[in-house]
Amino acid sequence: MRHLSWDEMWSYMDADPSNEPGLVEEHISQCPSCAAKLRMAQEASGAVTHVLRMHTPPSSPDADARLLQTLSGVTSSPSSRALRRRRYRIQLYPVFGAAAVVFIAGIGTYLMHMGLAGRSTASSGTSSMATSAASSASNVTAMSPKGKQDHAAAVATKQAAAQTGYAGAAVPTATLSVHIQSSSGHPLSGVNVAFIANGQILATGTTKPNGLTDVFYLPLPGDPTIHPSPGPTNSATGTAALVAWKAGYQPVVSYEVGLSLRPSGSIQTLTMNHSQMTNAVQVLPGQLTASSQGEAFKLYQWVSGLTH
Amino acid sequence: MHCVQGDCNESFCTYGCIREHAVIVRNLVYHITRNVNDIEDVTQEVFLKAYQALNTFRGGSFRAFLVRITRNQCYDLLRQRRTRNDSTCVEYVDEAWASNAPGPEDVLVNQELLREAGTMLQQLKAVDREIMLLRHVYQFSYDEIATAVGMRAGAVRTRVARARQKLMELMEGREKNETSQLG
Repeated sequence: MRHLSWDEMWSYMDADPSNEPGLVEEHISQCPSCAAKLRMAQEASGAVTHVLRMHTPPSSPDADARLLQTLSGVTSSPSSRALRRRRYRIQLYPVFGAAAVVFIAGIGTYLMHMGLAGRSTASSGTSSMATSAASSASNVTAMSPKGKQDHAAAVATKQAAAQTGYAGAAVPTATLSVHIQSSSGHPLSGVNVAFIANGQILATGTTKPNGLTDVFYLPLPGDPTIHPSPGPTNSATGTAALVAWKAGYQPVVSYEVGLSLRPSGSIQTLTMNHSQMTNAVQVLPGQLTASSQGEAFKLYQWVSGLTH
Repeated sequence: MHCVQGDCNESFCTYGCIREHAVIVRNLVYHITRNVNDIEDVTQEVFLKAYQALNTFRGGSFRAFLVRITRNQCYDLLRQRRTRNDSTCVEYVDEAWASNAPGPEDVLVNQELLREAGTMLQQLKAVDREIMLLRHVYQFSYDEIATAVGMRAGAVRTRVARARQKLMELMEGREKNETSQLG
């Protein structure tokens, strides 16, 4: 029996579509040596991913908001509109130029045809056109530095905001990554994971082929002091839980959630067991049936069918 | 792909969720510059440049387009500072792993393995580390990485395979050592 090569194993882990379906699974079910090598490759892959991920500092909690604000400001700012106008003019300029040449040539031909010695008139017309073209060109060139200035000002403002926001870091961010494995210890991909605190979903993610979710960045309350246990001065404020679910597996709820203040994030491992029960859920869009404080929201009808 | 959250920048929503793109850009910026203070500034510059260059985007992977801009931006910055050093600027072997204190990471992979992965990554060229980041952490396809780093997909595949091979050799060497120590 031919053993699997490392390339074949990595290709299998990469879910390369050119792989023959079931070939690797069938082989490793009969070959303990290759099964061990595959486990080693999976561990190695997880380690590389973990190390690369670990060396990424968390972004400030409002980084996305500031980025969106920045882009929103730029895309709707006068400089942005000027940019679009400038592009438009630049694109149209050769067309105008060509039209002017044709027009002038037409006038010249007409004057020559009429037998008029209109050289001075024609040149005056040409000069007028040239002035117009030059004016148009000067508009183009004049727009450029202004656009750059606006852009530079916008960037400087944003950079200042970004620096103060990042350096301030008034709100500490906790990090958490979730690793889901099957009962046999293999990483499970495509598992939905949600972090819930005080009844609110604060973060969601889906596990990748190595069984890990992306790091959840969770803003902590303003006071970063972490109390070891609830007491008279620091009563418990709520409950946090991790929930994981995937079709064909029993959902898992864990109340033991280990958050970390380290950029790399802590990794919490949950084990999921196969479920003999098929839990098919279908979501059907319902009708707009209610509104709250002027904001209409859509209700969805959940149809759940349990079959053995 | 179209972002369904709908509360972002309309110019980018067409190409997926800007928040997800921003995570990739931020992380890549940090992996290249190794400077936390650069992250937000460069990320904003990248998106501004991407916006200005949207008319040059000819379809395909938008995140690869963004990564390409990100790399250019970062390397321009490093060139300006003249501090780029492929082989020594990255310390992937973290002191935290050398600590004996048991952490949640122990559950997934042991410290030794993490150290070996860190050693392997440290031995790679900067571009290979970037390729591994895009491949392993963000599951970029070989074609996407090729677009992002300006190589052919086959070359990217070879580089990833070499890096993985190096890692497996390290792991196999460790296993042999353990076996011989036991014997």
